[in-house]
Amino acid sequence: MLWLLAALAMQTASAATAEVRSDGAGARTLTIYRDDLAFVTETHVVDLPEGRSRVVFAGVNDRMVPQTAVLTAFEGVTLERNFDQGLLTKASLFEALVGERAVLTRTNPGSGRREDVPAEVLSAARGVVVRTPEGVETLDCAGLPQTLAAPERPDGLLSVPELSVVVSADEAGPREMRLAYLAEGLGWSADYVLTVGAGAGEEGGGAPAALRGWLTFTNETKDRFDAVPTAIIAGTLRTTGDTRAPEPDAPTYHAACWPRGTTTDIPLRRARNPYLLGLIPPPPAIPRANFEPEFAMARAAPMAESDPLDEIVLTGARTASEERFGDYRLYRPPGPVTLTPYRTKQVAFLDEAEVGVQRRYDFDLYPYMADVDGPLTPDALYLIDNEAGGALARALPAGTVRVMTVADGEVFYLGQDEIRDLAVGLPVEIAVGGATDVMARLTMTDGRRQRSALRVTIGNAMTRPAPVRIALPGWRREERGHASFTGEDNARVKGEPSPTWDVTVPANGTRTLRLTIAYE
Amino acid sequence: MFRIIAAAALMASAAVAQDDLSVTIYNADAALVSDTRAIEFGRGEQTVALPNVSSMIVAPSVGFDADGIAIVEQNYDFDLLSPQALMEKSVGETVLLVSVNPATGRETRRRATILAVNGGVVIEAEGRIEVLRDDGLPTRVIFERVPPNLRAEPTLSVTVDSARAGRRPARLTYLTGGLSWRADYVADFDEAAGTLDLQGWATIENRTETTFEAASLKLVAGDVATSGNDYSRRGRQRGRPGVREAGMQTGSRERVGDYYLYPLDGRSTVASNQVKQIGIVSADGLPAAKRYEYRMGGFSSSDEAQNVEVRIALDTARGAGGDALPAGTVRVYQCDASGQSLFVGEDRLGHTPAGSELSIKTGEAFDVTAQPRVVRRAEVSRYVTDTQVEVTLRNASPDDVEVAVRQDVPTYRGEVTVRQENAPSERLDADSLEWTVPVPANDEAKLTYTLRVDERVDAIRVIPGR
Repeated sequence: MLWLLAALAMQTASAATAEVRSDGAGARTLTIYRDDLAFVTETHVVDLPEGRSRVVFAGVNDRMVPQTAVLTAFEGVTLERNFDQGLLTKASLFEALVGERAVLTRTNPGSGRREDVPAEVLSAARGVVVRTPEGVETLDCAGLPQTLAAPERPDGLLSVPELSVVVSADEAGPREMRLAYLAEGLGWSADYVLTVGAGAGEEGGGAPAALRGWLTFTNETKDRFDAVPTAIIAGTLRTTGDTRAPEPDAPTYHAACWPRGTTTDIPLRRARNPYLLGLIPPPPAIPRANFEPEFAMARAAPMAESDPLDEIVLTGARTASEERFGDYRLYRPPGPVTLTPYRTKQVAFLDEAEVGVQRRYDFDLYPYMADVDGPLTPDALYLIDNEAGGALARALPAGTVRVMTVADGEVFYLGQDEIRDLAVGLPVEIAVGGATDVMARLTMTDGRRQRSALRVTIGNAMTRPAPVRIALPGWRREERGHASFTGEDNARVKGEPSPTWDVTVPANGTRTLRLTIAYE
Repeated sequence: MFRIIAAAALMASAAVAQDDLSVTIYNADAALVSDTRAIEFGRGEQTVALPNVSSMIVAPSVGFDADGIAIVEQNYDFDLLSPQALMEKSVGETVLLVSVNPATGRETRRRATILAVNGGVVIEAEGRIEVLRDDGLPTRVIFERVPPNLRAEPTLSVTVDSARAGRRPARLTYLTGGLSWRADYVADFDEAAGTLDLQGWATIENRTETTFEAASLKLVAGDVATSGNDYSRRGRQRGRPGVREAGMQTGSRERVGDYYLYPLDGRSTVASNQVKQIGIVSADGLPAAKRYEYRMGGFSSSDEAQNVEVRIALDTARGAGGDALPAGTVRVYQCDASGQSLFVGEDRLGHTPAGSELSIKTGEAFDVTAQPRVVRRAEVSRYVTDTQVEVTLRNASPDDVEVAVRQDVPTYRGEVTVRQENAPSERLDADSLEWTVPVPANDEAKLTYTLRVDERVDAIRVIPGR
């Protein structure tokens, strides 16, 4: 009865709307942003009848954000857009069968005899109740192998979520429609490899090193992008959290049977209203396939790889081009990109054989360090010269920089650091870890309220001079008032947020700084 | 999945033609359903079952109205016909048990009476009391009939007293959860032309199990209180994101109470688990300009250069057709070098009266940065402090830019005065100042200022407004 009425109503509501199905996306483009967001455009060719029609787009990305879909390059009128997620599942199939005739098939576990019984489905609310020629029975509570089969596929239950538009066209004929939308599950990151030669930058002369940058594309959707023109956008976009792909509604089937077995395995209370009490379990998350990198260069543990440098030599010749887009940076790989589901892919975007690199050892000192037993360890830094007019002079998207060196034909990993989005001219400082051969001691020689004095003794156990930076962030925001620093004025670095001194500690030698602080 | 069908279809045979199913959807996860059905009433007191109501109906909100009808009582019956409910309501009934021997396949049939269903089904069969399926044998239970009041879906039942018999229209109204809408805007920004085209879509989401078939839809924009949401208490005033200067023009739309109403043309079907979008507003050629902003909430030095905010300042007074903009998400698109339109960022927009000035943040500039440094902080006297700040603005882009630098002073009782500045400031309020600093292409600029904060009690006086 219900079904009949529904069919009748559908007829009256959509009598004039023809359904047209696009065969799949034609030419596509892909623009990938950070944080799992991508902009997809695709061309669909459909044969429209005159007047109103509903166009269903097949083959759109499974993680699309439906409210962002836009139809461009279409002269007709778009009346509405729909994203239907009522999926065909066991539960939804049974629900659609309520009031319908179906076939109940039982198999006798002893004799193996199968029997088909006509059944009218009375209810599918928390378990199926049917009427058979014998009486009223249930589907799953007997302990018998039995199943329910529908005579045909019910209307409106989909295999995958479906995007459709209702459009109005002045005249019939084939039409090209360009569909654009945002999708989750596609992302990129930047990875850099800085290869320093033995002794690079160590004499303070800025011996060259090689910097290579890789764009790592990730595809965590079920969609395959075949030779698609691809761009990535570097920079920070504002996002609101509203651009999220919906989780498809796939209700799970749950039969509430009468108690089986003994009295100990069933709760006494039952939900009177599963909908209002929220007792119907939420749909499970769609399981994802294993996510594995396609490329040998791992993202996490380069040391574990046999020889990461070989990879770079192998493929580094083709690099992505860079352009400005609004206030962001846009990178285009040299050709179309193929992204297969649940894979990562890397494309070089930066290949500079000679960049200037300096070394520096940084101590950030705080008052409590005067009480530390033993020498303090500095951060070992590689400073990449990225000034305008220098050898590099490139915008560097945020990412991980790994530092490698080659000694006696063998590759060594020296450490890694994260960088933020860095425009040309901003300092590029890669802190790879603590240095062993450079150490310092902090001594408070005077601790009076209005005036205190520090002594910093720095030792260098290397056979070459060590450039060292001493910063006093711990004295930067002195609550007692404005602090003025004196001593070592020649080594003082102006314009830094904290009081800072740069000194060079001679090879196998020491250097002592005496600083006084006066409070206003 | 259930379907609510426009009564026009139901009443095809009856000669009743009128408005049938209408759904008014609010932003705050609520909708008002008005469902007119033709019902065959008898005379006197009777119970009318009304199936096909929303699965997330707010039962106390139900209203039922028909000519010559007095309501006696109304119930929302949640007793769903499940196997368990079937057994529980069959206590005292006789059923047929069909047990199958899993080794031989031989079926044994016997009659049994259900004695109790309180955790374990206790039955009486062939003069013995036993527990159903305690032996673990597959056993079908065949009931003679479905007990009354068990239904396949939640059903509303109304007991009425009818003055006369006959078929006539009855109007059922109720509130339901699970339906909501918000606006999604597509903003095409042409930076060179200084214009923005805005296209607004109403995004309707139906998370109920119910399909509303061929309904006439109305959307209400505004923060309406429903039980339990944030607007259901007083004193919940909040800022409206994106709105810089609220407009004073009355929108051209129909209003209801304090809210705007967006009736949608024709009839639409809102299917269960569907996201539906229908265009509601559009405005082309709104004057718009890009703006760089950097805002500091206090005095502090930054170890790293910070990317400044990119915002689009937008005036909806002209061109928008005098439309108010319902709350939603604005997604901004811009063309790249090859002319392809690409996404540049999104921001939230609060309910916006017509004629408002908007400020939409799209992201951060890659090439334009700001780095503040507290150069000197001097305590002039116990309650008076001078702070000298230097902000280094760097521009690595080939275009000259202007950056609006805003300093909020963290004091709520002190007087803030400018002791020194190398660019003229604009005072936004008692403790906020803004400087507009030009930064040439591929160059840097330094903004320096010294602010005195005087927190002596006798220093507090009214600051002239801007």
